Amino acid sequence: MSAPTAASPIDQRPLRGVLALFASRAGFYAFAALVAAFFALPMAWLVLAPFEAHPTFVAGLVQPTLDNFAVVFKNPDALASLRNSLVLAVGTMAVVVVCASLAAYALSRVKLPGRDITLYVLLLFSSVVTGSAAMVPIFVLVYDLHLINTLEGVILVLAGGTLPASIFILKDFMDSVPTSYEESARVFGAGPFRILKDVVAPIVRPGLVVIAVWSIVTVWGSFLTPFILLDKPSLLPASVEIYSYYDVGGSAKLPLIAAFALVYTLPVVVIYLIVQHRYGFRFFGGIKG
Amino acid sequence: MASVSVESLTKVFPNGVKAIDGVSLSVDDGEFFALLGPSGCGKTTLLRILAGLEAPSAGRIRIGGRDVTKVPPAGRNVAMVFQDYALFPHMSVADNIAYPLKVHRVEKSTRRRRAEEVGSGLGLAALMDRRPGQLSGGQQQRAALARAMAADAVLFLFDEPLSNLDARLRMEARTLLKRLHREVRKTTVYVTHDQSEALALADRIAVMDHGVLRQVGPPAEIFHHPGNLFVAGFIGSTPMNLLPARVLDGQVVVAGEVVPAWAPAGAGTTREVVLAVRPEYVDLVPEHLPGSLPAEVEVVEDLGTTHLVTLRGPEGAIQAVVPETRAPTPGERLFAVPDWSRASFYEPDTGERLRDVPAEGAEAPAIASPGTLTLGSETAR
Repeated sequence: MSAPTAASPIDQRPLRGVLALFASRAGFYAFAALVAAFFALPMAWLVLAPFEAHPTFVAGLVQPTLDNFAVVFKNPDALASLRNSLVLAVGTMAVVVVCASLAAYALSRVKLPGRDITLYVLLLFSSVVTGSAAMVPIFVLVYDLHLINTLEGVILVLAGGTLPASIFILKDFMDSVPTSYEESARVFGAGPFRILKDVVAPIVRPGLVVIAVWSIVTVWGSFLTPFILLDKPSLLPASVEIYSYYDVGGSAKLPLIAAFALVYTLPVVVIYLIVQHRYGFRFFGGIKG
Repeated sequence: MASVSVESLTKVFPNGVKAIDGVSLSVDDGEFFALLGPSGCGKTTLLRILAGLEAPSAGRIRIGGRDVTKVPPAGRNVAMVFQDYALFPHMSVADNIAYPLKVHRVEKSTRRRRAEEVGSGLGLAALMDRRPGQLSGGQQQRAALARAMAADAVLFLFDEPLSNLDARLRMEARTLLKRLHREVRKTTVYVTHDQSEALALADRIAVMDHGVLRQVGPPAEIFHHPGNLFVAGFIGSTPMNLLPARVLDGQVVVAGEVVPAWAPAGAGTTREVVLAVRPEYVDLVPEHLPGSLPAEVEVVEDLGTTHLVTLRGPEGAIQAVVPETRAPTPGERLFAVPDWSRASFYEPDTGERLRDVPAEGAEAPAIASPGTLTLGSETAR
């Protein structure tokens, strides 16, 4: 690996220098390989274990099979949990996209005293809202609203946690839309909602995609909030459901967990590929004046 | 079709800047009216108030006789072309042009037909499905124009629509605007900082400075008889020559020389005045004539068919525009002969123009009275 580093300019150096350089490069690559393996092995396990008849904690493919997936798709709770995850993710995304667009548009266009400091404070608290610190008051609030054990309650809490950062990101996009676009639409008779729909939203679409994808991915992987606000097994999302795959003896049902984990991961990968294909992850700076 | 009237309009921004200070003016139905002034003079603010994009702090606006002071932009039935064109980047040219119709819920096929109709009238027929980003500056400008025309408004508002074009395209677009206005005869308020644009296009020009109107009148009057020294300095491709002069017993004396200019009655019999005469009306002759000023050629600028000559005279610099065939050389000593009949007189302190007493407030006086014409016509080229 380190052979190419001993390139022409180094030839002039004394042998000791070359050797020292070689050793330091070799050490660096060895360390990098170790770190890479550390992160790659769980991935390899995630990809290989579902197709192994008797998966252990060792990544490898001894007896290839698809039976594990059959177990997942025959398990009604597993399927229901994936559906719940979808409802939570899409529901939260919808709330976030609609509310963040309206709020970001207003914040971008209306000059309020203390607007920026409000945004920063909101952003700061957003990590608290879905974090463990505020869980007790949130639980009490949701309980008093009779939203315990409802997906709607979880959607509201998750949206509340995602909104500040979404508004913050989207406001930046909206700030870069020249006001003359809106003024021009206004002179031609368009009202605020019409302008948002016809002019602003299409121009900031990359920003909308960012917050939509981000809220879906966040909700898809969120554990604490649904874990605390839901205890009816039929309502649990996949992220919580996977923690219940133990047999009576208390040991993990590895074939089920492995297959379920892969199925659970796939939607995120698909979203990533779609976004990568359509936008190439060049979200920012996509607005032409 | 509508007239516009603005009554003692004032706009003070929240930061305390007084952008418009008690402006009153009226624009006739079908008139092409230019608001001209240096940047920051309040002309764009005035236009935005007409559009309804800004609310005035005081005063009243009528469009077509209807008081629209508190009416939002949508209710005013005006169309506006912005300096940056404000074409929607995500819509095709056709959709852009048809957008005003879409807002008014016109049916889709009608919209498309109307867009094609207006667009092809402006040479955009082949570009209807392109995005604004794929158009050249001139094409974008025409698309913005087409969108304003498709709106079927009673009043056109233009905010420096030619300022983003290069010089040659600007001339073309100017001719196009003038032709369009002749065809549709729609009331137009046109904001510009370019005096040549205003002179070329407008039926009447309002010159603004620091939020007040300095002069309102047809281009010829503004050009030949600027109402004050500000307008005199602002209008014309070269600024007017300003010569300190003295009125003595009704005679005009410049640099110790009695010149054949006719002092306006308003100047009294003895006082200091400022005389303004355009470089285009200054001739250069080799020997002394009555009313000529000795001067030495300093700079000669070739303007193509003419030369702009800057001379050092007894009262400071004086500029003259001479034909290409008679360009002097720097260092040459000549005599500058202003066409005194075309000179305007100004009060040195206030900068206001001194008019003949009977003509005060009435139409501008005729270019010259018989007494001054004799020598004036001799010296004129």
